[in-house]
Amino acid sequence: MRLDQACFNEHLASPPFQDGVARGYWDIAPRDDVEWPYVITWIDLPAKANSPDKLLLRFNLQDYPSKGPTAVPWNFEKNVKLEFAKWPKGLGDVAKMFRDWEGAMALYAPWDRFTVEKHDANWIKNYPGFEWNASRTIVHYLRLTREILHSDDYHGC
Amino acid sequence: MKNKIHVHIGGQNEVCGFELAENETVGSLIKRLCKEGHLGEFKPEEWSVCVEDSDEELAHDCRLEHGKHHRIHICRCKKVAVNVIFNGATKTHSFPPGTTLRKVIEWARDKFGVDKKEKLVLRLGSTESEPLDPDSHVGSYVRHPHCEVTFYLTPKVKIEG
Repeated sequence: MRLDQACFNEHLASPPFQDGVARGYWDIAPRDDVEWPYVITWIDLPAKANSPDKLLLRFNLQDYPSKGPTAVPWNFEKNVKLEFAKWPKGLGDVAKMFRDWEGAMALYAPWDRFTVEKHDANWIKNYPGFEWNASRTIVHYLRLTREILHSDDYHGC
Repeated sequence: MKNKIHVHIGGQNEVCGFELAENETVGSLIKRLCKEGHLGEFKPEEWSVCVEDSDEELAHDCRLEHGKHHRIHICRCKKVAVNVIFNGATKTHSFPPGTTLRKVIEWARDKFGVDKKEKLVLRLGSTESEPLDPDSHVGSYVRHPHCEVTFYLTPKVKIEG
């Protein structure tokens, strides 16, 4: 097993990730045809009319954790990127994070590798404490994303 | 798994899951945790237990039930003095160790008169350190006999660009 995958598996077994599982906040959603460095996880969503109760995200975890994760909303049944019309909608941070930017390849968030790499080096300095570093785990990404989805900014999918 | 409870331990930022034994009491769980090395070298009677976000301390002869006690905090501090600094001003309150930071944020929001729409986070050490997990407990940030902690309250940075 590759070192990045072994490290990720260790983080999945760690108390912070498992505590989120126990609270019903998130978990992985394995598929046989999804292989490393890709991993699908879900985050629970607040109840909204005509909206799912979970958001599936497909992560690219290449070189984890020295490089940060990047994720995109995912259609688990079809194993393809979620149609943009079905991405979470709302105001404020929800509207910013789930928008069609650079081809809707990732969440527009300072903890997402794709988004950070598409900006100049000064952009991330606007978000002290939110940035990825090698001492963080996947819980950093999941927790910050979930907090935004569980705010009044979220209106449904 | 239906008898599993989640135990936050004072001074530690991790949560452990334990299966409740039949007729498990607070006292027997503490003895078990001591025996298994989770609580260091302290005596069982030194520890107190409360339910997450509850003001009530559980007696050592209290029988633990998954439905009522599925997430508890075990700590040698019976109360935690929490200082919250916001815009240079400090407010202090004594909380049970099992109080979540989410509850502390709402208390601080009220004390500092911050608009309900403003999203807030607590940080340790400085206003630029990592935002803390709002589901963590105040007791996880103190080590007996120093039952006091200082947090910085800051607006959550809005995503721009």
